[in-house]
Amino acid sequence: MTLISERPTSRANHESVSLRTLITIEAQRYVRRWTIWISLALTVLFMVRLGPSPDDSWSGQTYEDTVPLSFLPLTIGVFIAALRTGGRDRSANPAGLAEGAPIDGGQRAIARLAGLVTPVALGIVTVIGIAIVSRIEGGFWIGDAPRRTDAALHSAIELLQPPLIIAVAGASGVALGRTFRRLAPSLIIGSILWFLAFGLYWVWNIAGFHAVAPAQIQPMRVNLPITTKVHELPTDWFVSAPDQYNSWQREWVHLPTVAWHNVYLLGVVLIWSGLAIRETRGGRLAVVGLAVAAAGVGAQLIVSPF
Amino acid sequence: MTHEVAVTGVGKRFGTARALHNLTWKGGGQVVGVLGPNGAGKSTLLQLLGTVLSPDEGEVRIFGLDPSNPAERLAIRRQLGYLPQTAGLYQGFSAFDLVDYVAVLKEINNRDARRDEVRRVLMAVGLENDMHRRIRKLSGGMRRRVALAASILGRPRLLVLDEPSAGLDPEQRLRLQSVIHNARTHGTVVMSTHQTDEISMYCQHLLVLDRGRIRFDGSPVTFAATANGRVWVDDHADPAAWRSWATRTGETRNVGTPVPGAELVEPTIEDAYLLLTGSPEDPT
Repeated sequence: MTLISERPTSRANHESVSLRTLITIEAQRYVRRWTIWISLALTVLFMVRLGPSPDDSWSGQTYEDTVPLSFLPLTIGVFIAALRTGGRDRSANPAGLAEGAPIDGGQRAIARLAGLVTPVALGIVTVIGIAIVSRIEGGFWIGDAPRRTDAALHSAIELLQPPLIIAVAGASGVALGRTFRRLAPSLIIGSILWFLAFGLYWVWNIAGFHAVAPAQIQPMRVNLPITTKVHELPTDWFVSAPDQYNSWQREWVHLPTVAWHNVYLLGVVLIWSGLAIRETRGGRLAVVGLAVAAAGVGAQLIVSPF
Repeated sequence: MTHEVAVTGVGKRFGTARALHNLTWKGGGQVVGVLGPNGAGKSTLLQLLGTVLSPDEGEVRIFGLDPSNPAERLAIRRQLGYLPQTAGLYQGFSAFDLVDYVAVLKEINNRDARRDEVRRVLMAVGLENDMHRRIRKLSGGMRRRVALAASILGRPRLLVLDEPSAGLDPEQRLRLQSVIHNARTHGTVVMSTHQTDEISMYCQHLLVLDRGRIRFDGSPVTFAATANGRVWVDDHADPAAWRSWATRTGETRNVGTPVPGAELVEPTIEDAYLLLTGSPEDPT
C-alpha cells in the first residue's frame, strides 16, 4: 500500500500559493469586463477601417495610426476596467473587504496588477494580428517619391509599444482606483487624460516630449536643410516632400529611440505599480521604476535623431 | 496563563474624541457579548481585536501574539474571523464568488477544499439557494449573511462579530444562534450588540461598555443580578425611578432606587443595563 501525504508547505509558500490563486481570479475577472471587449472591438474596427491603404492624407499616416494610435480605445477600456478593479475596496465601503484576512491590501493590489496579464495579452494578440495582416496586405506607405515605400512594416520592437501602453493604463487604473474614493470623476478625468495623451500626439513631436509621450509616433520626421537635393540622399532614406510648413523631412523609423521608449514605458508601469502597492515594497518599486523611466528618457534624448 | 484575548490599558482617540479609555480585559473560550449604547466604543474595541486598528495606548494580545508586529499579526489573522459593522462587499460579485475570493484571502488554497468550505458557510447562513446571485441583487439582510459567511470561513479560533444580527429577520437570528454556537466549539466569539435579549440568547460572558470604559465584566446572570431589588412595576412612571417604560401588559417598569412598598420584580439584563447606563451617579 502506498501512502500519499500532503507535503507540508512553509508559510511563505502558503502565501505565494494564495497570491497566485488571487492573480488567476483577477485575470479571469478582467476578461469578464465588458469595457475591455467593447474597447478591443473599437480598436479592431479602427484598424479595419484604416487598413494598409494608399489613400492616406500624408505619408506615414496609416503606419502611425495603426500602431500605436488605434490602441487608444483599448487603452481607455483597460484603464476603466483597472480603475474599477483597483477601486473595489474604496467604492464598496470605507471598511473594505475582509480586512482581517492574512492577504493584505498590498498583496491584493499585486494580484490586481498581475491580473492585467489578460488585457496585455489581448494587446499582444492584436499586434500579432496587425503584423500578420500587414505582411499579407503588403505594408504601409512611408515617404514621397523618389524616396517612398508602400511596403513598410512595423518591427517587433515597435509592436511592443501598444501592450506596454496597455500595461501603463492598467497599472495607473489600479493605483488611482485604490487612491480615489469616487469612481466616476476618476474615470472621466483619467479617460480624458488618456485621450489627450493619444489625441494630441502631434504636440509631442519635438525632441523632449517625443521621449515622454506614452504613444510615440513613428516614423519620426527630421528636418533636412532647405538646400537638400533629394536625389543625392541615400537610397534607403524615406523623405516627405516640402509643404507650406516644412522643407524636406527624413521619415525615419528610428529603432533605438523606439527601444528606449519601451524601456521608459516599462519604468512608468513600475512607478504606477509601486503607487498601487504602496508601503515599503511599493515605494521601492516606484523608485526602481523612476530610475528605469529616467534611463529610458535620457537614452532617447541621446540617441534620438532630432 | 495565556488568554485568547488580552487587552491592557488600551486607549484610542479619533481626533479629539476618546473612543476607548484605559481599557483592560482578558478572556476567551466563550461567547463574549459586548453591550453598550451608541458611541460606547464597541466597534473600536472589535476593530482592535480584528487587527484592523492599532491602539494609541496600551497593548493588545491575541493568542499571546502582538498584532502590531507584522509577522505576529499575520499569525493572528490566519486564525481570525472578523465581521465589521459595515462589510465592504463587491457589488459585481456573486455571493459564491465573493466568499470564494475571501477564502483565497484567508489562504484556503486547495481549490476543492475551498469550494466545499464556501458552500458550507453559505449553507450555514441559509444562502444555499441564492449563492449565485450578485451581491447588488441581494437584500440588506442577505448581504449581511454573506458577510457573516465570509467571516466564519476556515473555522476561526477567534471570531469577532460587530452587530451580526443587524438586519436579520427572526428566523435568521435563530440561525445566527446556531452559527455562533458552532463557532464557539472552535474557539472564542466576541460579538457586539445593542440588543439585550441577544446577550441571554448567545453569550456566556458579558462586557458592558459606556463612553470607552468597561462598566461590567462578568456573566449575564451576574449582570442581571446587579439590579436585584432595584426594579419594580407600577401602573405609572414613578418619579423616583431613574428610568421608566411601559410594558406589553400595560404596566410601567421602573428602575432606580425604589420607594418603600414598591412591587419589586425579578430583574432582566435589560433592567440592569438601563440601571447602569441611566444612573444619576453615572461618571461623565
